[in-house]
Amino acid sequence: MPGDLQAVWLTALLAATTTLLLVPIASPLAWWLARSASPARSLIEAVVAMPLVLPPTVLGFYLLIMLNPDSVVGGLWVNLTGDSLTFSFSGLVIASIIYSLPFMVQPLQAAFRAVPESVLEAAATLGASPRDRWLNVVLPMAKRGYLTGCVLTFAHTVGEFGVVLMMGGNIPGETRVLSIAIYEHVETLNYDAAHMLALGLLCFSFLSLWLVYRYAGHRFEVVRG
Amino acid sequence: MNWVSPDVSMVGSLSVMRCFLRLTLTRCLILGALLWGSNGAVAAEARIAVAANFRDTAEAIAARLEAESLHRYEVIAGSTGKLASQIINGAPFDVFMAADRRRPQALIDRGLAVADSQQIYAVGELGLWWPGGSGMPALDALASLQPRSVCIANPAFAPYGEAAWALLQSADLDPDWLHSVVRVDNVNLVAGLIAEGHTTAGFVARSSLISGKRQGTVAVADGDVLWFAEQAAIDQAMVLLTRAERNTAAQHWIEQMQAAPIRELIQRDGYLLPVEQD
Repeated sequence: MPGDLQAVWLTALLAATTTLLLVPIASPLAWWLARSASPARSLIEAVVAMPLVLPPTVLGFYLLIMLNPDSVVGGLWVNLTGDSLTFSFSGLVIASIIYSLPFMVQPLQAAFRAVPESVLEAAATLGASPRDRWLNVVLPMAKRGYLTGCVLTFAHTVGEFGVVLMMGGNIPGETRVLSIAIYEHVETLNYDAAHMLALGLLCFSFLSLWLVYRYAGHRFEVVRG
Repeated sequence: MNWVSPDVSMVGSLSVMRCFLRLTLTRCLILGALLWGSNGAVAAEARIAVAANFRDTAEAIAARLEAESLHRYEVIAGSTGKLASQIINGAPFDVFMAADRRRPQALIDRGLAVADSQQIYAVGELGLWWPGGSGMPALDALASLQPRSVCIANPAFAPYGEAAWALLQSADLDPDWLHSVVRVDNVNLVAGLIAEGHTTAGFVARSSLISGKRQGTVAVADGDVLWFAEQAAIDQAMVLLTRAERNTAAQHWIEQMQAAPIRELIQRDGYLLPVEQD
């Protein structure tokens, strides 16, 4: 059981780190996707949405190749930190950011699109600087988008399995997240422990989605212009 | 009044932090002094990657070594092939206890493991477990079972599965029937699936049955298992991984595998011991 508590903590830490890092990464991207008329937009939209349809094993496989110590990125990381990116918490954070990207970008994109151009123009005419307009006009209007994005990203990262199985190994306190702990309990016929964790995740998933529906009104919609 | 001026709160938190750092430092020093064991060895930590069938034994060994020394061990179990590929891809393990000799050798060839650390630590036994069959299980009789009712560990990455597959192929069974054999992730799962009644028969490790019995998840009658001690003795080898060359905990682990109490533990869990090595 102490092992399971550790898995709960590790999973929460992974999901929180991923969510926190995705907010600044996804915000400018979503803003550009919501506002741009560039022909490259649909291309980028498709790339961002890829993790929604891609089998996690495909993502896990490419990440394993990309991050292993003999690769450029993985080798650089080893030189910098002395630690391997594969089978490490840092590697899982990178994987989760990619894996959960659409869950943050899409609600934000929908929220940003709903901010009328005229309101921004009015604010500009009244002398609001770009920073002012962002903080006092866009952010309050996109509040629900952020709530939806954060809850979905957190929940989706908690539920990650395939990618972690491919490039996480099963290292307690490092990469042994909840889904992997359940898998191991089933493998070792420890059904009682598996039931506990599975039921916990079931309740958590329900609560997250209920939170989104209750307070954000809708899941998320991809708005096309 | 809850309000504190920013300056005051900043100074407050700084001094708290300084105090915390000082405390941590003192604690580290005390801990450090404690960790210098009586025999002069520094306590260290090691991650032991073990073949799934050896998981329980490795955990028992870890508990024993932790009680006797200041070293700390973490046991990570999986199929031999999966662990080896994880090590090749940079997994931070210190000792690899495989269920074959091929994978440890492959790691040595790649420079990932220390050549002279390789040794056979246990010899495993493969058996055909067929509860509720008519009499003693026999290879040829398997053909009478429905397709998809016989289970083995995946021969692609589990040595016990590889040995089972070789036995099945030598038994003159129908190729279509052979094709329907269920392959699972590792040999421990096979015992579980049979115990739960999901499959009728399967190739298990003696150690899986013993640990299952101990946990109360598996009940085996003696006449229900056909052992292949001669045809399929499974040499399980271990190596020290290159990254752990200076890890005293990992070295201690490797050395202790030759110690009498540990060898007894291994034997108790259903393994034969390798012929004395020099």
